[in-house]
Amino acid sequence: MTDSNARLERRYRRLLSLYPRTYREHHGEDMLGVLMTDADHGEHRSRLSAALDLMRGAVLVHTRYWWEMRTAADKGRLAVRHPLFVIRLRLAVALWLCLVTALLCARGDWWGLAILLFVAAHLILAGRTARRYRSR
Amino acid sequence: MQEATFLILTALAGGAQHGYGIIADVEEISERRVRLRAGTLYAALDRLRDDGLIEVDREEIVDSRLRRYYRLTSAGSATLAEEAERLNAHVRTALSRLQLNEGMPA
Repeated sequence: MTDSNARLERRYRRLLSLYPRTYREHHGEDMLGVLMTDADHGEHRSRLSAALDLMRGAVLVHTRYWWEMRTAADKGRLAVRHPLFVIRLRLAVALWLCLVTALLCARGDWWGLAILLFVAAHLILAGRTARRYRSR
Repeated sequence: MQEATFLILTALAGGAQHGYGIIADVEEISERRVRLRAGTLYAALDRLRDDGLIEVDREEIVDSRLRRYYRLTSAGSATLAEEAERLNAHVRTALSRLQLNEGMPA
C-alpha cells in the first residue's frame, strides 16, 4: 500500500468513527473496502464527495437508530401496554392526595394545599394517556 | 420507495452481490445516471436488512478485505415486484395520455 493510500484509509476510518458503534462494527470493514476500491478507480474529486456522503450517511443512520430506539422504548411503557390500568391508578392517587390535603387543612396545616400541585400533575398525565388510548 | 432503494433491490434481483458490485450494477442499470456512494449505499443496506427485504448471503476475504454479499429475501422480491408494477402502471398511463394528446394543438 502506498503512503497516500494509507493516508486516505486513515481519513476514511476517522469519518467512519462518526457512525454508531454497532453499525461500524458490522459495516465498517466492508465500507472501507468499497471506499478504497472506489478511490483506486475514481478521480480525486470523487473522494471529496465520498467523504461528504459518509457524513450524510452518519447523520441518517444516527437519526434512524435514535428513532427506532425511541419507538421500542415507547412500546415497553406501562401507559402504552395497559392504558386503562394507568388511568385508573392515576385517578386513585389523585383522589387519595385530595383526601390527604383535606385532612391536613382540617388540622390547620395549610401547607397541605401544595399537594394539589401533584394532584393536578396526575390528572394531566391521566388525561394524556386517555387521549393516546382513544386515538389508537 | 426512493429511486436508490429501487435500484439496489433491482441489482440484487439478479443474484447476490457485494457492496462494490451493487454500485457498479446500479450505475449500469441507470445508464450511468446514478452512482451510489458508500455512505448512501450502506445506510440503505442496513435499513433494508432491518426491514427484512435483504439478507447476508455470504462473506469472503479478498485482498485481506472483508466482502459481504447480500441477496433478496422473498419479502424483498415481493416488495420490488409490487413497486415495479406500480411504476409500470404510471408509465402506461403517461404513454397512453401522450398518445391521446398527439395531434391536438398545444
